[in-house]
Amino acid sequence: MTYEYKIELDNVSKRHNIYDRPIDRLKEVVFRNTRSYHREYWALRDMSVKFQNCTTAVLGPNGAGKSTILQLVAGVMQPTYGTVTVRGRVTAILELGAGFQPEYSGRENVLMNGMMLGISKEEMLERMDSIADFAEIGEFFDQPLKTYSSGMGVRLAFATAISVDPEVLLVDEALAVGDERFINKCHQKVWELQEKGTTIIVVTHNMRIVDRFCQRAVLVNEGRLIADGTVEEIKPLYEELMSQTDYKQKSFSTPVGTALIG
Amino acid sequence: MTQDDSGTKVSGFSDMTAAVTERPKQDEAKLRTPGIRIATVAAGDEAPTSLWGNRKLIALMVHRDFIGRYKGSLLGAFWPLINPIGHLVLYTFLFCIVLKVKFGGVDSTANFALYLMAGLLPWSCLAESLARSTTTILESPNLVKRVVFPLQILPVVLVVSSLMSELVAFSILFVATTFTLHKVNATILFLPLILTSQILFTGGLSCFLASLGVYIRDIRHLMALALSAWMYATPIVYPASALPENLRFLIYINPMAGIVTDYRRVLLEGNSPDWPVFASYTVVAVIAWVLGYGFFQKTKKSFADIM
Repeated sequence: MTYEYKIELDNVSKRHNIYDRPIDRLKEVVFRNTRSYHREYWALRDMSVKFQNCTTAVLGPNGAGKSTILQLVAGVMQPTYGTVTVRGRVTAILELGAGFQPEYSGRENVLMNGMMLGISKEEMLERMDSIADFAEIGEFFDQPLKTYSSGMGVRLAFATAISVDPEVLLVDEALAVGDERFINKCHQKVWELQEKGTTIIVVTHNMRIVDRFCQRAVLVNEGRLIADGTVEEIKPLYEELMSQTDYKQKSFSTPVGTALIG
Repeated sequence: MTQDDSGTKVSGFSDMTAAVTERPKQDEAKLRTPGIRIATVAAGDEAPTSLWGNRKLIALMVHRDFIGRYKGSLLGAFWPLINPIGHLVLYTFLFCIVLKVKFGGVDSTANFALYLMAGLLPWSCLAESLARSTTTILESPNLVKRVVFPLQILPVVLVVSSLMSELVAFSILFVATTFTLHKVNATILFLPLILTSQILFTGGLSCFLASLGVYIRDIRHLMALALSAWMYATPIVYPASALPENLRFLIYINPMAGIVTDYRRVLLEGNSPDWPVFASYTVVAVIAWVLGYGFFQKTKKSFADIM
């Protein structure tokens, strides 16, 4: 295993400002530095972690900051403090979608997805058939995405994300939706990607997926890194943590924050 | 906390019970430096960030927007023609036949209709772009929260899309003008100049409103009213000369007034644009574009946090 890190988080903190009313956000802009109108919720706190060149599971209870890590790596959010370093082309399947537009057909969405990563239209059109094949959505490929079942959406998202030769692949809960046969197919594909040296990060609560796909795991809770190691090392810690976690005991601001970071 | 790269890193579970609202300890220096994300990709793999680099994506989305709007409707591709003609008939009836508004030097109903259309077309393009831009970001949460998408193209797509409608209608106007006046004004060649200023002005405002609409959701409700007021402050359904002397200043502070008047000059009157007026609204348009686009680019990073 090589130790060239494609993803590094160095002292990363992410704060969400929670406003009770939308007008408060505006007030804060207008009266800058005079009064603060928000409550703070820290989704991540001083997190330093390096993701190795393999498949890593991010584990933790709801609201631990798992999705926030992926969003920061994907670049859809900026860290409040600290540095996120990403080397290579990133594709992400976050929350059962990959930036798909519900009104567009599957084909159009795939085309758009490739183009926003900087892949030429011609190149994308060449890959179209293999993407359609992998997704197995048949005639739905030319129907608007809003008519898809969640399984079809995920299959298309996965097919698209892996078709563009990513160096970093982020998967958020998505694999849990596929049926057994599709997961087998993904397994095959994940193996191929791993051979090519792709760094894969998976967020999931499904331990079967962790066992099958992942070599390493990081455990997070309440925005902090608890542990970082091989799956065998982390699993007992994760199970212990989950047995201790009592959601009722969390302070009142947590539900808001949980909703925010999904 | 210690970490060796191959091994396990464990800090005590005691950390996990820390209150959620507690602020993490930050030293002063760190408080002043906001976080950054450094992304490097292999040469040639960079995602384009400029509007020009994304031109094919813009073309795809404009095509989708333009076609998608009329897809499934009975009259399909005729709607971009029906709408302007319908408005034309409506306004002609109201202002020419009921209210008897006259444009300087022309009194025939046909001419009134042409004058009206020359003003109405650029206005519709602006109004449609601005009204839709206030919600365009909010309507695409997938593009904001799940992928790194060049969001700046969203308002641009709206502008180009409504521009397409305008150009279709302009070609009708051109045909109608040729039939009514029995001649083609050579000054029509100035059209691209005015169009460029109009695009920059519309684009700049759209970008600004697209961003503002994310922060202040009331904007979209305000727009209907604001656009109505703005339309009546622009000499579209009446000639500029009909404004009373004490309201004449509206013409000078409103770039759309100059643009509309110049369209009439080059399309219908066979005059070149009113150059001082042209210069003034072009300067305003360039400023609007630079500020509007700049504002959007500056604020777009926080969209994902807000939505």
